[in-house]
Amino acid sequence: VSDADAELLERYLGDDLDEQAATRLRLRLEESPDLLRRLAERALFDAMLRTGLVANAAARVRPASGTVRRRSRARHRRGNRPRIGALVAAALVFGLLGLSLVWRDGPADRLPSVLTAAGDVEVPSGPARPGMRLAAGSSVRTGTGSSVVLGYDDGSRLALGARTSLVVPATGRAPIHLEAGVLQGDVARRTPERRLVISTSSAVITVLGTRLRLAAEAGRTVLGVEHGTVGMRRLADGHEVVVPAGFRVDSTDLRLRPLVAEDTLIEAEALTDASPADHEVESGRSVRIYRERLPGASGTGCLAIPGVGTELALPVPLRSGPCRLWVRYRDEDLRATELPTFAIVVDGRVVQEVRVAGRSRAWLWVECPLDLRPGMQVALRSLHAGVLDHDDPVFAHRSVNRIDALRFSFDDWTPGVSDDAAEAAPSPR
Amino acid sequence: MDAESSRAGEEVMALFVQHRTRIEAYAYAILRRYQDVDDVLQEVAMVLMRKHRDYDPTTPFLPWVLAVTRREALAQARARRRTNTLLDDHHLDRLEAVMAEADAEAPHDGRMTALMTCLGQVGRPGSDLLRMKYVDRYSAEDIAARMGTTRQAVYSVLQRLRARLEDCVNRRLGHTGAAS
Repeated sequence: VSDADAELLERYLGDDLDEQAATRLRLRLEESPDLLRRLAERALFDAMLRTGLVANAAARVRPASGTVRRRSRARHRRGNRPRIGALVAAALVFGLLGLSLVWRDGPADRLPSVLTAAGDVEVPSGPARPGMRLAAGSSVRTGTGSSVVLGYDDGSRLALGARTSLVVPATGRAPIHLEAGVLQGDVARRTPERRLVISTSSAVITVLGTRLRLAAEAGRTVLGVEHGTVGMRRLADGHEVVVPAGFRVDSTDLRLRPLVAEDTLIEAEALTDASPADHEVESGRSVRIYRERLPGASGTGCLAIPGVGTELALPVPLRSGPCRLWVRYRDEDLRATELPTFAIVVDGRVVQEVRVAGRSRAWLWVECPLDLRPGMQVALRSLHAGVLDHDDPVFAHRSVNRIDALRFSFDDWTPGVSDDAAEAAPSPR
Repeated sequence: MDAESSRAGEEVMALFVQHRTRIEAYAYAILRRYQDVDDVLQEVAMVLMRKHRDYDPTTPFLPWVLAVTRREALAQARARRRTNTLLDDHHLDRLEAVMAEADAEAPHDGRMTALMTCLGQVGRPGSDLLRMKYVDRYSAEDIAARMGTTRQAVYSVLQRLRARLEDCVNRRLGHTGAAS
């Protein structure tokens, strides 16, 4: 491959080719079959290089606790003798370092503010209030059935679910520490100097700009990447994995598994009670609905289920453990003669059939206890022809089965008067 | 979703993960913007999950998934109105054939391990440049502006770095020739 051809390839792959150069490249590809092979080799090598470099970038991150330990040992060696010269020098150094951090960190790395808080959300100074900016080194804790959305100046948002504890870094460069619970992030694209790093007890997650879901419990972290690429390093052995969009990984085995198919999700925000048309799916079609962005939150609106066999697949939270699946359901078939109406299906097996005899045209909460594990396939399968258009000119009517809200509850939440508050829970988007 | 279908879906996704580098390379060769490539990879993964039944496991996986990748990449290019610098269909046919060649089925684990070792030997300025290009996704123009040099110089240095890395990988794997 000549130098001129190599430059053409370089500019093509650098997306730096004008139309004239593109025509020249096409001509050269015709004339020289080796050039096309070289293009394939270059693209493949670039893909490997990118994978390797992203993995390296993730590996360079160290947890905050390690830094603290090293500082402690250094202080122990020095002893406690006050040395004025050293203190003055240190003050100068830290002053300059502070200035440098302010200059280099920029707005994206400033401390987050509370955007919305629902339920019991505590910061060191008391209950969290919208608009409050969190202090460096402070913590945020959500209680049962509570949630909070934190926002950064660059538009990045972190939504914390119920029973979640997060520590804001003392400096812009230290990782955010997710002690336990569930976090869902929508992070603006950042340069490596400003990347968001999240640590847990078992892993370090490096985010350049992406939508991700993260769940942490003692010794275990589950990361799901909806958009972008995220590196995760397991602290126990240093093994790392680059998680591409559409996949999730569990720190216990570091295996990549597919996430819920996002393009088939119907956004909770898109479903509004105000819409009389509801949202209908084709009979027999399998759809996924995305009511449950976080444990403790649910969407609003109605989903009409038109036909037998229609399956509504639920995105299972990344968190594991015993929980209850709550479904708010309404059968508007005036006749209510066709029973049962739907079944709760886990990993292809019907675990509970739900009958609504005598409850026509009334909202009904259905509870199903589940021992939830990340990766489980949970679905509602319609066993009832939900929409019937009757041609009879006298008795013409339309009957609809509707799903109004779905939620996995790890907490003590029960349906009732708090429903409205629950449905107003925040979403990170 | 029945258990058998679920298993078949998992097998297709396992093949996707195994060949991900090659799928990414093909999408990159068409689109040349990593953010678009990431989007396409996600789309491809979703298509595979939805349509895994369309794949006949008695046939090679790569040609099938590369055809899906091409379709998604071209749709992405159309959506972004970037069709003017795309390769022609017959060039894409040939590129796809090269990408799907039989030796491409070989796992990349050894090559990747060698590359990681070789990356560790790249000095600071070189690794900074590679990071800006491949992790931060800066354009050659942006890199040139940051480093106070010309776009042409950036291309030259990147070419030299890649050539050195390819040589290093091949030496470690005990053979010569271009890295592929």
